[in-house]
Amino acid sequence: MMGNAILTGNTKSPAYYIWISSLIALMVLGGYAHFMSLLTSQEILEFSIRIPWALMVSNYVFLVVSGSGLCIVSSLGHVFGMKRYELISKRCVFLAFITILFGMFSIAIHLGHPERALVYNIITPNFRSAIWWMGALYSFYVLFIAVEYWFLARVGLANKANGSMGLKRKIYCLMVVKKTDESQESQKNDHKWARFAGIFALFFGLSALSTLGAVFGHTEARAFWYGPYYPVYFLFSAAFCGYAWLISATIITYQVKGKEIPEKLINLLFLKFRH
Amino acid sequence: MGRRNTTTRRQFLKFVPAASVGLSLGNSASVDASFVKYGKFHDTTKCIGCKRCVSACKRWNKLKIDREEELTDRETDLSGQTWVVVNLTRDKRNREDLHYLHWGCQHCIKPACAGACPVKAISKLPEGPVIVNENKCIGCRYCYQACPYKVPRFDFEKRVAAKCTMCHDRIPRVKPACVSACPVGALDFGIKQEILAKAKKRTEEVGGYLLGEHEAGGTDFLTVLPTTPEALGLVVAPKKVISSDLDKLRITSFGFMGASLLTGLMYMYSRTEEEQKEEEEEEKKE
Repeated sequence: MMGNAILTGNTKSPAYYIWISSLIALMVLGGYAHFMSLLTSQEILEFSIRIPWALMVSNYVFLVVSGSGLCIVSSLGHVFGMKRYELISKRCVFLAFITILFGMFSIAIHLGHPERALVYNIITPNFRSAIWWMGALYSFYVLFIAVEYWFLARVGLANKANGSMGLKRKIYCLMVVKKTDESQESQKNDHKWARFAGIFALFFGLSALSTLGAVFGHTEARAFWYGPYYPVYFLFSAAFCGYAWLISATIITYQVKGKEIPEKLINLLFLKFRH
Repeated sequence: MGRRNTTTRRQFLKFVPAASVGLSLGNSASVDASFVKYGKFHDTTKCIGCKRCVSACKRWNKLKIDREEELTDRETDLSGQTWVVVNLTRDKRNREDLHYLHWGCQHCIKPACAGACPVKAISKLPEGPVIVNENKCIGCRYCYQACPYKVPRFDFEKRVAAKCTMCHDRIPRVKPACVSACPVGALDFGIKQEILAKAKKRTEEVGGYLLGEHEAGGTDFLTVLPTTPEALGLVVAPKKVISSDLDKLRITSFGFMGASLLTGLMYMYSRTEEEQKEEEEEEKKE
């Protein structure tokens, strides 16, 4: 009954407000900690000198892994051509883009010198290091995910651009690079290019994810963190994590909107088939 | 004559980039041969725990000095400002048997940290020391994760990894600061082969264990222990090269196999929808 209420009910219970306000309080607290770490010392984000990878790395791994998982789920729609998954592909790709962006942000906070990372990763790359490969592959992944999302969102933005005036119209026109064509043909073209970018995003996402697993898998000095199973474990947990993100993001979106989730979407998310 | 000269110049200009590429690609083994390798040696049976090595290290490398650390026998840990420590270790099997142990970077012959650093900030010098380039380190701390001895520590003020450099700016003209400071000869420094022979001889005399001969594929810092490192509660590194390139390739290839498996599964799943559609169409026809 409870689950049903969350899915269909658009009434906002006190629990909902408590949850949202505690979430905002935690965000404010986290933002303050980040700010202080920049002002004073990174020691704030660490537990002890013996645990060098603490808060920000776990944050990074969580965000990046679920982002890649979302990319995997979204690729069912327009890379593998499953019609019913195209319903969620736009939301999936948007979430994948946002998570990888904030994942990159948290790793930049974790690094002692992020500005050097930008320079020396290009000038003196160490091809034997898993971290270098991970960084390089994720950079390509961000690029392709952004392109994919742009192609998926272009028609909607073009629609808004055509429907508005003045400065708003200019901003929307800039966002779609002045391609305000809404015809069926352009949509087909968009779909084709989104698929093309999606294939590359999936390729780079999967390889970056397995390299992220390898970052932990290579550390032979850490007995339980080491081994060939690590990349595989990362890949498969990512797929499930991405799916969980999708479900919770959909529920939260419709809760905030105060609308009921369409039955088609519920059937898709909870794998309710017609048979 | 003039024509001949121009052709040689052209040939020379062709040769220069090829030669530079060839030199940069040349393997390091041929470069190593021209250098003498050095090693550091510590004899725990001789150490009196005066911690002069610690203070000498801090003075030479301009690190922060903690007086209390150097005056007491309190257990200290390596940090960005403490590159070597002297700790009192106790034999687990014989509780009265206490030994001072000088501990720091072991300077592995094939360092795992150098292979883990994404920007090549850590390098193994041909003379032996493994050093961190402070101006290049991005502070990702992967070296700490990769090190079997957990030596490279993060300096929270400079925001870089820091560790013992075997005083590479002093050797071979002057011995490292810690070795020069030792009053009883518990530390020694010299040509690797001579040091290894000395260490082996000393181990036989004491009847103990030589740490660093085979651990982590061999290290340039050798320690004579009275008993096994397990009994003294030290970090026990496996007797092989840590995180060798072949191991890394093996683990990475598993990742790519997993990725292809996942893609295959997704493809098979996507086929089910098409099959469903075909079935439905057939039903409609009927």
